Amino acid sequence: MALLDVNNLTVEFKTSQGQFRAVDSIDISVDANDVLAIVGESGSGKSVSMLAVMGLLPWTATVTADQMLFNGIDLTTLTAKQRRNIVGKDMSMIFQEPMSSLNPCFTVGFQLREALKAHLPLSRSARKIRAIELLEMVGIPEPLKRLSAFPHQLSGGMNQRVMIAMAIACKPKLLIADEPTTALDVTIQAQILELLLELNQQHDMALVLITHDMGVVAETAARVSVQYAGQKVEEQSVEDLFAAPRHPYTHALLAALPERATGKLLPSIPGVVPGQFDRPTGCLFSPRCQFADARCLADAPLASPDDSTSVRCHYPLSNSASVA
Amino acid sequence: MAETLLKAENINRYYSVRTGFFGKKATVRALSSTSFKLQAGKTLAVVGESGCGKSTLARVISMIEPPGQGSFTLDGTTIKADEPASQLIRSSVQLVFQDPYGSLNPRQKISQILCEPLVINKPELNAAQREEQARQMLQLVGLRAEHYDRYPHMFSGGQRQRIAIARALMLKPKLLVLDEPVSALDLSIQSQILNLLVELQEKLNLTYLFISHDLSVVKHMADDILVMYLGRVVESGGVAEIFNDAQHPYTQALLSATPIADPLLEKNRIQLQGELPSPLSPPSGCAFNPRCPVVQEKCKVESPELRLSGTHSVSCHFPQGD
Repeated sequence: MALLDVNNLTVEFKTSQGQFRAVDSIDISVDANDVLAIVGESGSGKSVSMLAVMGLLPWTATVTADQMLFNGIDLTTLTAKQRRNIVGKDMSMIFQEPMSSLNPCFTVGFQLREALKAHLPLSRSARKIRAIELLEMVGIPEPLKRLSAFPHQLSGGMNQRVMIAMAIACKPKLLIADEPTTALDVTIQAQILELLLELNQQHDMALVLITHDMGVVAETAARVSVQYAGQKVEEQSVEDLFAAPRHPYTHALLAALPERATGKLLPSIPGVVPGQFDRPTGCLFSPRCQFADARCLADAPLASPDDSTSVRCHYPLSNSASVA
Repeated sequence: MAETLLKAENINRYYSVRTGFFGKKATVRALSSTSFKLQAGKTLAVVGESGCGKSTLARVISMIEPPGQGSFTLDGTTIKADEPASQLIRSSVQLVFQDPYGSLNPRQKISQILCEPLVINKPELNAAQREEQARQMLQLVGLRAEHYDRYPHMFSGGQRQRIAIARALMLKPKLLVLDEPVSALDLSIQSQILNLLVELQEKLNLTYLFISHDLSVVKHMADDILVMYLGRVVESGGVAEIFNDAQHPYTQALLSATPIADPLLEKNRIQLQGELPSPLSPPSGCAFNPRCPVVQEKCKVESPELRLSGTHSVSCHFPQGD
């Protein structure tokens, strides 16, 4: 059985101009020890869908799902107290901006011990020992000294390591990393990704990586789910996705990568991602799709799961279609 | 042989800061003895991590700040330390910033944004002439005529970056300094802007100083590359030479750390230990020595000079040629 099993997840926000659907009937399934990457541009609902799973959305959001199971527990019927027992313990999250997700008023040691205090029956001294152990695990030199450092005294890479240490403090079964390296330099990014993969392998921890960087996806993930304007348009294993994307959006996105360019001009996708007021009636990608016809403009395609891949398109590209 | 548009010689830029409220004065060596040449109509990319002096270089070249020491020659005019550059030469270098949400004044219409450089620098033009030029520019960067009277908040990120580029081009500069022009944009928009930059370069014979940390974008755009570390140039050369035959250990580590969108590619990654040292107290000798995988005794004492090794210049005592 999958560790996280979400069916038909929809998130709507109440705005002054009416309901805005940020996530539109998404299915997510993550096995223990899995590495799933969720890719998409800004506004594709990738962060919101995971925040919905964590239960961290504000009151303006309406979350509906047919099923939302984590480790056999139904997340939709939990009380706030029951949820707090799971979030941060069995399921935890790392955010994009390490500088703004740590509290600047407290030392990193305090914030790290707080996570332990909330979930584990450890004594004061045991918590300190565990905190040092965690900082060591994430590769922070002189952990004892760093416990009494404030976030502003550490660099971005160090703060991100502290965030990871907090997230893995209670040995979670599922770690959701929301753009964990976007704010960091490439050499530091390489260190952080290596660390996350190591934790995934050694501690049997499933990893959900939210990112927009195709390079990061190719190097870390096992499976990839591509989102566009709140919908999941494609899910495949990472090798198949890069070799033979089925959805025209994925195809166009990969072709737009500068490293795949053959000439000086890149093949680009015309137009922009639809917003709240210009959502097309049919397929959401149809206004920008080079293969769209009358059917695409009229009816929205459904996700069609066939064996290992699922594509939300009336005319998925065949496997033999070459990547131009 | 293309003519040299910009030639920089030993530019330094130091800032003195106070460490703490009552602390001592200290010097940040943001840029030390940087020399390079830029050919007209070409693109020179500056790469490096945050704090390596890329943006300081952009500020010096665009004459927002004078160089602390050294000088550079732009199109025949020499700009020296502590000597304000003339307005005429300033208008031949223009900047495009990283964040199109922050770099456009939200209270100005696009028409005002585009005409303002003309009002200041070309007072001989009347309003109708300014409008004509601004409308032409709008078309050139791929925006429609009805966008002329709108405000920046009505545009998406990609369109705003087009406006920022249009504003930079209003004075017909020779050199465009692009400070991370696409890193705030989504992938599908990024390719649109990169294409626009390529087209404009061909049409207007522009020269680009392209600052970026994204090596795949740099590889696509650049003719020559300058790799910087802690305010110094560690390696410079043509794009093919840097990507195929990197000789400085830092360049090699940077290249190997860059994720490549190909899951089948075998990687042997050079893991760098530690982080960028503080520019307040750079290490003695070679600035890279605390993190260098092939460090030797000499590196800790003596700072290497930029010199020719093989096909391009490297600043390392022990360049790692294959």
